Amino acid sequence: MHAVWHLLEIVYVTTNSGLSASVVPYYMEWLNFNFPAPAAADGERIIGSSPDSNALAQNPDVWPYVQKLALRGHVTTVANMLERIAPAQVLSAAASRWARELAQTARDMPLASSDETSGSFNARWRRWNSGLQSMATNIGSMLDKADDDALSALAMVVDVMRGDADSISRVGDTWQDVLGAVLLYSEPTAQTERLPALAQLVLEQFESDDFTLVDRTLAALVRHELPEFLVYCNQIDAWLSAHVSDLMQHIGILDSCRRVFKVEPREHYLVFLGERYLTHEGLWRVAMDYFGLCRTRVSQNIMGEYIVRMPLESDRKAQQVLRVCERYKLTEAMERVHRQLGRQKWQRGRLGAAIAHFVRVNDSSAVGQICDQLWAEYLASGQLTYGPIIDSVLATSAHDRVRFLTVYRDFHECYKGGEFKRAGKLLLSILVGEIAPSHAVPDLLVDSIPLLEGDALVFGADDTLELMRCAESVAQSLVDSD
Amino acid sequence: MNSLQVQPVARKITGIRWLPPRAGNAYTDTDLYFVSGSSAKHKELVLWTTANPDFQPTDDDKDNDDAESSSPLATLVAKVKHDGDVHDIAAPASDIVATASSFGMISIYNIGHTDNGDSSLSLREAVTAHKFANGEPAVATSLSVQPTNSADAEIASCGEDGRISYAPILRLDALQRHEVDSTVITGVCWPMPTQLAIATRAGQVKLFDRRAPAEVQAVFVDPSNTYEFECIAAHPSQSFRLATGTDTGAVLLWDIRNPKKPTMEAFNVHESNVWSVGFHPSDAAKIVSCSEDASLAVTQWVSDSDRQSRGVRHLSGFFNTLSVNCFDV
Repeated sequence: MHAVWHLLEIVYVTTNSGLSASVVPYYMEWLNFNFPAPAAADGERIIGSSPDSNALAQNPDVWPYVQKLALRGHVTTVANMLERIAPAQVLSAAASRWARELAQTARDMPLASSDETSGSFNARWRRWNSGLQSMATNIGSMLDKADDDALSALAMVVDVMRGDADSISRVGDTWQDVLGAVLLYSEPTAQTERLPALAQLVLEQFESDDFTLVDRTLAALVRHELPEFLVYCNQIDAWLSAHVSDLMQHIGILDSCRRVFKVEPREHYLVFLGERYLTHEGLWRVAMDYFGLCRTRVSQNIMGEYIVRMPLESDRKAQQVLRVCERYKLTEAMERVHRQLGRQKWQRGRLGAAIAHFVRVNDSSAVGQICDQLWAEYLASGQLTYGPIIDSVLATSAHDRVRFLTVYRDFHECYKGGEFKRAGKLLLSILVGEIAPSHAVPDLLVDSIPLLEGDALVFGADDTLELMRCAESVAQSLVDSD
Repeated sequence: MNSLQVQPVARKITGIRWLPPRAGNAYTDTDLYFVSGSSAKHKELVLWTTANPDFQPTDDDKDNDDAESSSPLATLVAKVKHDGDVHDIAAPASDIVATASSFGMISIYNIGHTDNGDSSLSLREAVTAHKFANGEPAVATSLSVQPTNSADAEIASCGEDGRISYAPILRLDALQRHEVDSTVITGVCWPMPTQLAIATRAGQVKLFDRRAPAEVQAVFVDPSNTYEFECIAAHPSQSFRLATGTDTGAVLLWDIRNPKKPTMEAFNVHESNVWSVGFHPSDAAKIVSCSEDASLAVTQWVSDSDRQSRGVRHLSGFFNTLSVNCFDV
């Protein structure tokens, strides 16, 4: 997966100017990092088993090893190996000499430096290449005269290094190898635009049925066939396709895919990954983040649906869910969650908390019902126990019933404390303000009786008139209902 | 130690607590132990050990490569399944751990160390401390141990059912429950061995005297702001100072010497719910807090004699955007 990501970065993201705009050095670095070959262990084994240059030259593994080194562009190691082999006595004089020459040429391979102009680099490179070409012809003519294994192997190395496509194909194992060598030795200043054409040429030589999934993905990427690339990425791993499509969106190359896919690809893959994470109990928060960062209407809808179905096992989880709703502005979901919490608390008998939730969503009928329940409990038990419950509801709530209960509680406190005048005033304010539910008014009137009968003068003339008016209306409604 | 070290453990950790250092068997036995509790898919209590930083070779003689100097951070020593999500852990002694679970239970675990270096965690007893009026279990949101040296120390827990319960650690079945609030109680702590303080979601701090547990001794509210408290902590030596964390990211410092007029100072430390707050055990001028906004913060609320002035310092993992659930100092 890392290989795919790295290559994507090289092909599309790295932008340099001038000579370093070439993709070749990056490609070689990517190749050698992700698909390292030939193995250093092999080299050590070969050298280790051959104590002197004679044995080295006769070691059957040594020439393939050198060829592979050349293919991957490890020119210094090639030179080192050749210099080790060259003094062997088993080699013919010609082989020996050409080995040394090749070692020297390998060391001379021009490498681009950042402050060199492309013109001068090209000139140097062409000189170097022509040197290799003449070497090849010379060795070739020698080979015609006499058969020499070492020399022919050497010739192969030279052919690879001068960019001969056939020899490269013969030495290379995988298409990434071959493409690398082609780039390195025939077009060292190639830009990324050249990749598809070259890649096509190389890939034709390989049987695509043998490709692994990673191979197919990389091939699609190198040929700049992005829709295919995305589909393969999804098969490798959902994480990869989600992040790749996101990256592509940000660097602006996702547009070509939009014409091919029916749905918006980035959103599709991000949602896909999010849904995968949701199946994990602990990763719901991560999934929500993925949905949220899609920033499309469809993903917002999806997110809203999932979040209201999130099981609210504990208070802390509920808080986290509400935070997510707040962060991604899912107002409707937030309301539904508050309602759900309110219902949950109501069932469990936590009436104060339930009222707080319903007040948040302005569900006055639910608040009213809870308050009625509290009132009924009070009537049944005769004890005003709902005081602390009301206290903890946010004082800013302007709901009628809540205010009624609060004032009534205050009335009780004053009565108990002996402040009859104040108590009377409070009771009257309830009746005048008409904040009491109609079924509670008779009880309130009954409460006023001890105040009327008591020794201290609580109600003035106007107040008494009010009380009588209320009594009248109660009596009237009783008559009407008969 | 200014560096933040991250160790992935593939669990959703919701509780963590250092164990008091224990006298080991050998002079070199200086490792520190801590316990972590996890929730969601794997509900476990895990005992970890880590090298004691006071006994490490100093940085001066480190001329080796980086690879050698990074030792493993903590190694797992023992693990046991836990019934329900772990909401809080308390460590009264180096061989006892108490947990609060999402099924409303307080459980006590014993930690055993054998001679050949193995350790084990085993459940000793558990009791249901919290449930709702309709019988459903209520989440036990927090635990605290009475700060007394007597053998019969008590553990207090609070839950979503608005109750606090007290139980002696050694005899959990002698549990007493008292209903004290109508909303969720989110945090509990003992400022003194005879006094308990709770923080509720309605923005109130209530004080209780242990000797008369059902009566509220005092209630503190900030009327100018509608806070919802998530956690509470007591100053290690000044029992009139409390710190609470709110759901909007502020850390409030209370001075309750005058119960009729408590003073309160608010520090805007985080951007989201402050899940846990605590005073630094040795430098009580610092309050540490962790939050949903993925950071830990250290708030210096008093100017020190040595040049540290009041301010807030943040610590956060660079790649972490998920909530920091819990911490311990």
